[in-house]
Amino acid sequence: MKKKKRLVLTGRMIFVIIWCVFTLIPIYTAFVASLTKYENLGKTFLWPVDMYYQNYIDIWSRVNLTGYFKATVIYAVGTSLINVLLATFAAYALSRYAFKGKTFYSFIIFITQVIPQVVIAIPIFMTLNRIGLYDTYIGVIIAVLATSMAFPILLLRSFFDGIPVALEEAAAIDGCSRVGILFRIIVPLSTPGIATTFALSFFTGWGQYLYPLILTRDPSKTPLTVGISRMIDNQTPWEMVMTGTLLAIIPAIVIYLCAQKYLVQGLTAGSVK
Amino acid sequence: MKKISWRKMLSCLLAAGMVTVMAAACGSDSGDSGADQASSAEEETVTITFMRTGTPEVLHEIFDPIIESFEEEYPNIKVDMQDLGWSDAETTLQVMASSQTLPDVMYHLPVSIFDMADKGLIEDLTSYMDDELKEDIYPSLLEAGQYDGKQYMIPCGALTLLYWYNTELFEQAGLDPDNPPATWDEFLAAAKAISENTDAAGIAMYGMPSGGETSFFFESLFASEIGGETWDGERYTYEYDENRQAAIDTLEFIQELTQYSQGAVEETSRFDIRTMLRDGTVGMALDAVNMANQIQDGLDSGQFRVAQIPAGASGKQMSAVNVGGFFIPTNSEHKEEAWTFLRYLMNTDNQKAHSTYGSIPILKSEAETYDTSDPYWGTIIKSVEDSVPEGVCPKTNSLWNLTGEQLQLLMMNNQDAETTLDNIIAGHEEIYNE
Amino acid sequence: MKQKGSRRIEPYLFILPTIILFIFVLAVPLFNVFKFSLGDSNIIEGFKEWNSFENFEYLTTPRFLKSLGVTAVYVVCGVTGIVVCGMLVALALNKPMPLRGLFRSIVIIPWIVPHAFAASMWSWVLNSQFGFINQLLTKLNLISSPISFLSDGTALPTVIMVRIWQGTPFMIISLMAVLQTIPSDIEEAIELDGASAIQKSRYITLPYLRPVLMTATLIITAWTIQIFDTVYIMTAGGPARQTQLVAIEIYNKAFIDYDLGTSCAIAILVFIIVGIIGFIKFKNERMVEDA
Repeated sequence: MKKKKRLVLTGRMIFVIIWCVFTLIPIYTAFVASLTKYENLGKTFLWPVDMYYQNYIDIWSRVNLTGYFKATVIYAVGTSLINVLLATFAAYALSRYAFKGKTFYSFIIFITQVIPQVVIAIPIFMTLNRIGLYDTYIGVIIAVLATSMAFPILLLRSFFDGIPVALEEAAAIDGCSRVGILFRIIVPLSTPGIATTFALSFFTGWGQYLYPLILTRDPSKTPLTVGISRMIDNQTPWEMVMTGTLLAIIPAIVIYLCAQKYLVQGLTAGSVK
Repeated sequence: MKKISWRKMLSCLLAAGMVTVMAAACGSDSGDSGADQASSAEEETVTITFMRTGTPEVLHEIFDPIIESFEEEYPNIKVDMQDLGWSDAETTLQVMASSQTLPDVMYHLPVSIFDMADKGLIEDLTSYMDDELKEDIYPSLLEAGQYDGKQYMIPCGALTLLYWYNTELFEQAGLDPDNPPATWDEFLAAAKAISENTDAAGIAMYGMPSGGETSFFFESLFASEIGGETWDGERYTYEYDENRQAAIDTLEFIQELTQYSQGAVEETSRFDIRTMLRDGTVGMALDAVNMANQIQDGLDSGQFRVAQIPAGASGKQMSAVNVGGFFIPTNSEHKEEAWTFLRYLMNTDNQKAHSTYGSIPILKSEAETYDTSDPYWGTIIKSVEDSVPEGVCPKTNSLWNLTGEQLQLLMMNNQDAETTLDNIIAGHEEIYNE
Repeated sequence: MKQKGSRRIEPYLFILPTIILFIFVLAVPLFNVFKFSLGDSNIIEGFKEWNSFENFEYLTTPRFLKSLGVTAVYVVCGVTGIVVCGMLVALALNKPMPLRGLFRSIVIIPWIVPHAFAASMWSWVLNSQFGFINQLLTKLNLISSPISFLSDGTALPTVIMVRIWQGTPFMIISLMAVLQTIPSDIEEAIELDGASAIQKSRYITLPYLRPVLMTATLIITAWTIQIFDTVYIMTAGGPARQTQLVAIEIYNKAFIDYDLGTSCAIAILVFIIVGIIGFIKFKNERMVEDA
């Protein structure tokens, strides 16, 4: 029995390791390429042959990386702040009230997350252009919000569902209003959920490509995704593209790793139902 | 109590909104402040925007000095150069056109320019052009910028198909580098000799139709097979019907070439073959002048050479010419200033600098600055003189796409030349009639 | 506080911002999608004139049906791959093992890599001249000439593999969460009864997983149908339309063929399919809630 258990454990370990290698291959090879000189790209294999860190210096002069970072951070932070707020309200309504049209509302919310961006991007552009929000940060942010609000709402709702109503009743007796209850009792009790929502929306905002591409015009509003993809034009050498790519995803990965304890907790507790 | 908390909720919303708006404001600040300061410093200074599709850092190296000297010469005009990569150019262009935010001077390809011209978005530059400029631009290039009898585009970037080869591999294969193949039969024989007698493949072929490159390849060979224009500029159709056999022969030639090429032709792009030739994995390639940037050292040392593409049945070593150029949109508020800048860019020296980005000479005066007895420049300038304009109309993107797909099938040996031609003709027919 | 009137209006105030967002950013544009699909339209000029459903004719051409077929293969294989891999990884990580925390963080990473970057990194890994995989296989003497991962016949499997790479983390997260809610005493009890691993998964694990598995699969399916940038950057639909997904078709019609009308007609088809999936998921969810 014990031997069998050990065998199963080894099997699991091997499988997980293979999967992790598969997961990391693209990121690792990008890392190797980013430390290689153009001429040596063909020679590099497991480890960069020349540790050419100059790529990381050159890239700043090649493209407007600072500008891309700034725009990306604005999209990511803007999206996540507003998303958390909207989702908190909506999730609270879904969790605590029975109201007419609730089913229909939930259906609509679900639908928003599966509308293909490529379907909706051009009409969104036309609407925003008409109301004067074309080429603004807020225009991109609300477009992102509209198609990504579902998951945070569903996530927070399952968090709120887990908080006993009795607590609120006690507070209500003390004369607390609904919004007061929401912010004084529910929100503090769902910190992991709020944090998870924030982080997820942050990554969503960070990774947007089509919306900023179509909804902005000014070069200062170009985010990393669009800016770096522009380098994949077959003229910019691969190692530069990879350096840019890595620089663009590293902040997101670092934030993820820092927050991952809460993230996994939050996602586990509020698993998508 | 109740009221207060709703207010609280509202204020929270507002606060979040403000954070974003402030962030947005900060963002646009840096962009605008420069222009503001400039306008306060000098009265009636006009800022025009300029966009040249391509790799930003390379383009800035070329254009920043030109812009600087322009601003010195015309102190009341400031030029704001903005970046646009090829990968998202079409998308951005459409969106800018739709929102009336096209830059005052822009470089792009005739397909999109003519489509926008059809919609009344492009300024007809015929009346702006002076005779000096008209005379100076090669006729086939000037013609390529015309649509519906109007000069919508001033050509400033052009490509012909050229024949690049590796002299070392030529010698190894027992071929004479001083007498490169001049006909299709000789060319095939050379490709065969290289792939049989050396480690390298005979010829680099590419099947990725990313921007009409393979269609251009086909059209150039077809031009040399029939010895003239491949496109009926009056009816906006390709001339395959009258030259059916010639088109089939051209396609067969392309298919035969793939026998002596590197593997996975359909996955290879025109850019990939440049490193292949550079690294000696192939002996020859048919590519535009952009190849030179990649193999410059070898060209200097004599390892690589360039020649006219081999001649088809017509006996003429000629290529189609693919052109891009500047245009001014009708939405521009400073058309005069925009033209002043555009005209400045077309000065011989400036155009020469621009051509280093990857273009054959556009101006005769530009060509004269090169030594035509030099085999490299001789070849390149002759290729412009002998070229025919590539066919372009607003539907060209769709036509190229379809041709590209069919050529891929041909190069993957999934269908023969005749079927390919029939599919191309039938597919084009549908697109013409749409 | 507990006045009836305000009780009734409160929830609507709470959901109001999302409703406003929905109307302006989705409902109005969606209405426009329908409008554009009914006529001759392009991006620059918008709707021009009614053309009696001409745009929808494209949906019946062999050209489009082929890309519908490609999309079907992509979605079915991609989603199956994601479900299988996601389940295996989640199960393997469910019980204690050395470095479990580290592994758990690693397997989620693809989820936060933006699609555009995933495409460029994978293009590099699979590059036939310099790519890592080809070098690895050559060094191990497994192949004599490089494999072309994006050519005739191989392109579709390759983009499906990249989709699995991208999509599996979501599956893993969803499943890991539920797996932890399975009470361990039940599992121990059944193990003591001498149940085999298969029996255990059949009677304990699967029933627990089913609702979440169902939901996650439907969401992943809807997401996979709309994949655009990854495949577009890697293959642009080629070679010879072998990876021409419907989403790429929508994009090309609008931006390459300047035909927004047909683009929107295709978009409506996609929207109907996605809507049906949404409806199934929704019904399913209500059943769970009602039970």
